[in-house]
Amino acid sequence: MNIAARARTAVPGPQLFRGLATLLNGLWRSLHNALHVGRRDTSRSSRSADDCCLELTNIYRRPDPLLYSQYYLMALGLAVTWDNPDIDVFEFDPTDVQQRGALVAAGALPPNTRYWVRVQVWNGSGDAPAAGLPVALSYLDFGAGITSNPIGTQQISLGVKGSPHSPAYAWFLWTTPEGGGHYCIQALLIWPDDANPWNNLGQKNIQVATAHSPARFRFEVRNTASQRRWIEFESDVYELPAQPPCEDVPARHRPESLRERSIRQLDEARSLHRRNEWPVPYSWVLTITPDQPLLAPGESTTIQVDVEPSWHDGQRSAVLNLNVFGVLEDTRNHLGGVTLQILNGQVA
Amino acid sequence: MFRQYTKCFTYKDGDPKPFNEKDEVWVGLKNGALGAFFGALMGVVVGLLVGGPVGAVVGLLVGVFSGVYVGMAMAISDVSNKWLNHRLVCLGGDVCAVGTVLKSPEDGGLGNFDNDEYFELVPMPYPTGAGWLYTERGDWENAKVGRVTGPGEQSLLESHPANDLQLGNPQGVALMRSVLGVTKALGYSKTEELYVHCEAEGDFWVRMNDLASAIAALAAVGAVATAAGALAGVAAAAAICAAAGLFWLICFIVAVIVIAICTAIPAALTYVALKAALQGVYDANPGDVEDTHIGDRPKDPIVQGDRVAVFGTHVYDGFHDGWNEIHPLKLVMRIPREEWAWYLQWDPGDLTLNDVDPAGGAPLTPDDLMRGLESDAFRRRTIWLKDRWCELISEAFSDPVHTSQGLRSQQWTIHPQVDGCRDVHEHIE
Repeated sequence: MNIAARARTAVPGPQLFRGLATLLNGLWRSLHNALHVGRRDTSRSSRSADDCCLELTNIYRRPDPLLYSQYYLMALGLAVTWDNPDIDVFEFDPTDVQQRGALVAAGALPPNTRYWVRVQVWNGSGDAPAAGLPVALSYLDFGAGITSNPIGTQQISLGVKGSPHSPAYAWFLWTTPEGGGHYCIQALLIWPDDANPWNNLGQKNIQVATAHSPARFRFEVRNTASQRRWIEFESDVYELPAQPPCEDVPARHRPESLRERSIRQLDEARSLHRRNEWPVPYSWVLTITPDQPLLAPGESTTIQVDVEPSWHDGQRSAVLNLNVFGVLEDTRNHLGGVTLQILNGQVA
Repeated sequence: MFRQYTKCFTYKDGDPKPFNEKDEVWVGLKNGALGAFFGALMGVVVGLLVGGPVGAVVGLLVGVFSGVYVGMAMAISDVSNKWLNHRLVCLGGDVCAVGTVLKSPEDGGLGNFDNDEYFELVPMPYPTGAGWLYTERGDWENAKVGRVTGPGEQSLLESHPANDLQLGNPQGVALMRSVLGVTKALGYSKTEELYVHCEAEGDFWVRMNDLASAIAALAAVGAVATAAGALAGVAAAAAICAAAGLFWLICFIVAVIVIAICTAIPAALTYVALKAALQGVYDANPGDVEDTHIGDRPKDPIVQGDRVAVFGTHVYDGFHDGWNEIHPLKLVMRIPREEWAWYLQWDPGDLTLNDVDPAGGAPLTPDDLMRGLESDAFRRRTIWLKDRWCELISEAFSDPVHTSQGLRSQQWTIHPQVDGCRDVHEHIE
């Protein structure tokens, strides 16, 4: 900048008065801080709440590894399916270990058989990747609240949102146990400096049965608490809707901060996926036995579900989600859930 | 989003040198003198036209006084311009590094006219124990390792010189060595900033530039008030002496005290008010606190000993004695401590590591751990770990990823299946 330009900044003008106003504002803020020692307005400074250190607000970034996490989504007030879109089972080809076979249909898996399990991991952060993100896979014998059996842990490189490395995939070779039957597969993402650690646990828990007046399902429920608890069930018929085409999503003309967008989209998601808006139709016949067992600490019991949907013409299948809760006085803990897929036995 | 107010410039030997702290006084004097000269000239001319010779004298005094304050505003503007545009020498674009934070981040403080936030990064795998602290950087041209605080550590470093930050540490060599054509002419401190200096930008000098005229005006008001205080002190002292009929020596002492008090009060008030106002402006630096999802937990600040990956622009800072640094720092993220596999540190005092190669290769042997970067396996692991982070971070700052992030299909905040949309026609050009 030359001397004339610099001199212009020194002569009185709007900039002078704006500057004086800014300095007066700064003076006021300093006086305010001095008079309110201990109640520092941390939202207006880069210092941490305990004043120990700088927060490096604009540049310190954390990744947010996530998958379809039923516990988190329910905590947000959203309905969930236990047919997790981020956990899939594929056939294993013994002649080519690296080759992944066809997607295995949900339901019972034969015993002592090898499968590939794929976990799809997303990053909610557009700034921070997670190099060497551990993904731990385990299975529950079946049902809700049963002990976890580890399958393995893989490290993956998860890029930022919108990058070629997001979503990233962890592949596990898994041999089903001798006993056979249904398994709840559980994937956990482990990242200590995670922006949101509550969306890291996802489960895939499906049973399939053909409805022959009625369809019958059985699963185990266990009380993992150290006190006696009532077990309660909530049922609904929620299914993940198909994603709308992006063309149909209205464009935003007003710039939004990430926080504003996040709040708005949660509100919109609640209107589309609200938990209590997917009731089982009155025309269905649903029986849960026992419907409210009282279990001692560590005790488990078999739950039988008989369900007979009212079929529309040509309808091939229907789903029923059962969410399981442990209740002790005023406390109600979500123990898990299962998605029951009912095939119409009268449709070929 | 990181903030950037500075621009680095390309320096060639023989070009004007970067703005240096030693230049500050000269910039102040030069602008003050210019202001005073032009103020005096204008005052004399206007005074002569309006009031003849007496008017010229009055105009001269008023012109010099006001010119000094115009000069002050010009000096602030000049320093701001040099600080932002002629201080940092470009060294080759954005770089990434992995290491340990030597000391918790600090800012320059109002006294240093700087609200940049900075920390020192000890590049992986150099150790961070008390005995390993450098007091003088190594001399790579003469293959001499640096000086460290512990005698045992000094001996180990001399036995395994490839672990010295200047001699063999891949990140130290790339980021900290002096650069031919720049530092040969500009100098490089041997004893300051002995690690990778990482600096996030504050807006202090941008704000100072905006406030230059207001600061000068306030200072001028303060000076007038101080002068008026001095005159009032003279009048008060004269009145006291006359009224009390004091002996001249006592009268002189009383006059000095009264004048000092009457001058000091407005001067002190001006100083305190200006400092407090600037402190308030300086603290008004909240960063983009809205840049979070709902559900994000509060951040644990980066502190001493954290292992981090950093990304920013590689420059030479010519304001001090000179050193290379990352400025502006565009991203810092914490590397989890829980697993060894995420980080590697040369620690010849502890060879009991139960090592696992995250790439699936053979674990490091005690001999690899003893020799550190002299071992091919140890060096390969170091570079692999650093590259694993840096490739993902560099990707995050790439144009295709920024373009992709602007697509509507990437606007989900809960899960793509819950609040996302299906990408039918959108594609990256």
